[in-house]
Amino acid sequence: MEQVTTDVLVVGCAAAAGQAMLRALESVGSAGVRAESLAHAEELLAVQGFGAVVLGLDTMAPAEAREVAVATSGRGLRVVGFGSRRSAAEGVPLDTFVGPADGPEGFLRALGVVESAVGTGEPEGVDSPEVHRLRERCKDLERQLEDHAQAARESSDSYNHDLSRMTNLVGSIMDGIVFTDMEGTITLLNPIAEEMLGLRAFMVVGRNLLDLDAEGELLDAIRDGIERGADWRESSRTIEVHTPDQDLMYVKMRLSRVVNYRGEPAGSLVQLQDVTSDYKTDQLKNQYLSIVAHELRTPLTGIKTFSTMLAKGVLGGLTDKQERVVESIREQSLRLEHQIDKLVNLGHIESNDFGQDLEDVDLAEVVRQSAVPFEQAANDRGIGLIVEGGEGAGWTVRGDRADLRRAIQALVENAVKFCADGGHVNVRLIDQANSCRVEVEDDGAGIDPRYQKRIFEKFFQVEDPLTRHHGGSGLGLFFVKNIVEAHGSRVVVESELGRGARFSFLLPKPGASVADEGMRAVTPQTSVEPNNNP
Amino acid sequence: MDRTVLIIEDEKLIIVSTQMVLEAAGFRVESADNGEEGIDKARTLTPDLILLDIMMPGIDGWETLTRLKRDPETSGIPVIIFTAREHSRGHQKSTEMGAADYFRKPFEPDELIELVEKHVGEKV
Repeated sequence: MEQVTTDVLVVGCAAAAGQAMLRALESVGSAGVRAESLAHAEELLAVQGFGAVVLGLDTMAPAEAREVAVATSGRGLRVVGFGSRRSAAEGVPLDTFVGPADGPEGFLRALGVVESAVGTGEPEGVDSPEVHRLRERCKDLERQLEDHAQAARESSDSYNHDLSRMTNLVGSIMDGIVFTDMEGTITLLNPIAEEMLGLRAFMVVGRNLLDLDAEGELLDAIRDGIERGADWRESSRTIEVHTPDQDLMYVKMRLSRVVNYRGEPAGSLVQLQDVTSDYKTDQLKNQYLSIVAHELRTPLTGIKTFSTMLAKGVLGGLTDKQERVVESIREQSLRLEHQIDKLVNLGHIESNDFGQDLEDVDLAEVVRQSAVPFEQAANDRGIGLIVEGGEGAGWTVRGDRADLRRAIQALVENAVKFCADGGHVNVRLIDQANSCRVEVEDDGAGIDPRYQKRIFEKFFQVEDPLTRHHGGSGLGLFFVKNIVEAHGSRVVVESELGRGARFSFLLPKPGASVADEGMRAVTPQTSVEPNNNP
Repeated sequence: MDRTVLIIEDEKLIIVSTQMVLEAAGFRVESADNGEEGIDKARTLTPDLILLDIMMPGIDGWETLTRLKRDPETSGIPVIIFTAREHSRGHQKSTEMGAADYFRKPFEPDELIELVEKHVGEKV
């Protein structure tokens, strides 16, 4: 299509239609001016030469249109009428009439700025059903696009709202909170965490925690936790932090895996809780208990030793009656010793301090010793308390002697306690290739399956504490679990209501690990607590 | 020849009971009720083994052990730490400081004899 440059004056026409005309002219290199009024049109005509004029017939009175048409055609301008109805052009001397259906090209051709195209087939704007259908389809798509855009705007508003709500929430938590993604890039750091870590959120958010050149005991612990991240779902440990004023602060750090809505790992959540005051109280309590224990153990050592020497006949022969009395003193002293151990254990509740004092332990000796304090009680109630196995050598395991004795004693004590009068308690030591298996079995009331996991919880007791008649602190099995896990093994309970209970665990022989026996191995001395929550 | 065990312990009761157990097992037993005296007796008697308490007035068991191990005259005598108090990692600590073993009170007389027999020949 050949283009001719012509200046066009647009008179009348609604603003939108006028603007559309000017744009159409501009697109082919012609200039157009729209007159705001008839007077404006006269001014423009006086100062500028135009090639054509467009009259907006819909907005002009017929008389006005006629007047302008006569005046402009007298100046040699091409006069084009534009209107929605051809009837509006009656009586107006026009060169051409165009309507909306002619489209921009029809309009430009009428003005003479574009020469009529020859052989281009149907002129634009023809109402062929195909063109109509396509136009409708386009409008449809435009509407859909707008709907999507609107939805996106709304969703983004609501996301920003949620985000700011969450940020406020996390900001007001009194614990330090740090979120990172899977790579360790910090996505959120609340004010308490800023203070604890000595970092500023605006400087570190978006940076990788592992690459930050900042230092500190807490930061190191977090890095360590995140780097080892693959094998935990949740872990917690208490970290000793040296504060700038030479004081000590204790911070409990919990690390949890954050998952996305599909359950896939998405990052880490670090919670930092200042537990200094709890920790210091705990230390004082432990210290106190330790002193009490010392004061009680010293006289007990005397009682135990003298009664043993008497019983052995080192100090001369005894009558049968004397022998029974001496044996009873001995048993009671062992029982007292067990009670003192339990008292000291109270101090261990939060200390995660089990299984620390490793040495080679003769498990057979420990098992035999563990039953002694309960022989009298069992005997009084007609309970057969029998220790089986453990003959000969080969029962050496690597472990914490005192802790192992505590654990086995707690199991025996429970078995005797929950056994009916006249029942049976069997303590067994079984050789299992790479490990030694300790079993404590009773034929008492058994444990309801729904409680079998919970009995290992701290202070959990199946009985109602107000009506129970068995007594106890509710800590025995909690210690058993912790001690056995600290030795890299776990406690298995098998029980049915009315059919007794059997508690057992394996301990590896030197050079073997319990994992060889297909049991879960928990590395000793680590403070990572496996999370029991689903 | 009699094998001599030196007990360094402030509790008279523990000395008497330990003495009874060890003498019955054929040992000669000497005692000291504080660290300073214990070190002196270790020098003059050069016992075959020392049983050492931790909690004592004056210099405590850890300090006594350090001094015994620093002195060439006594450093070759095996020392068994002997305690009634819970010490976190006490066994580990005593081994690191050069003790031959670690033993908790109250003890089983047989276990004490077994342990003393085990280490009594280690003097160098």
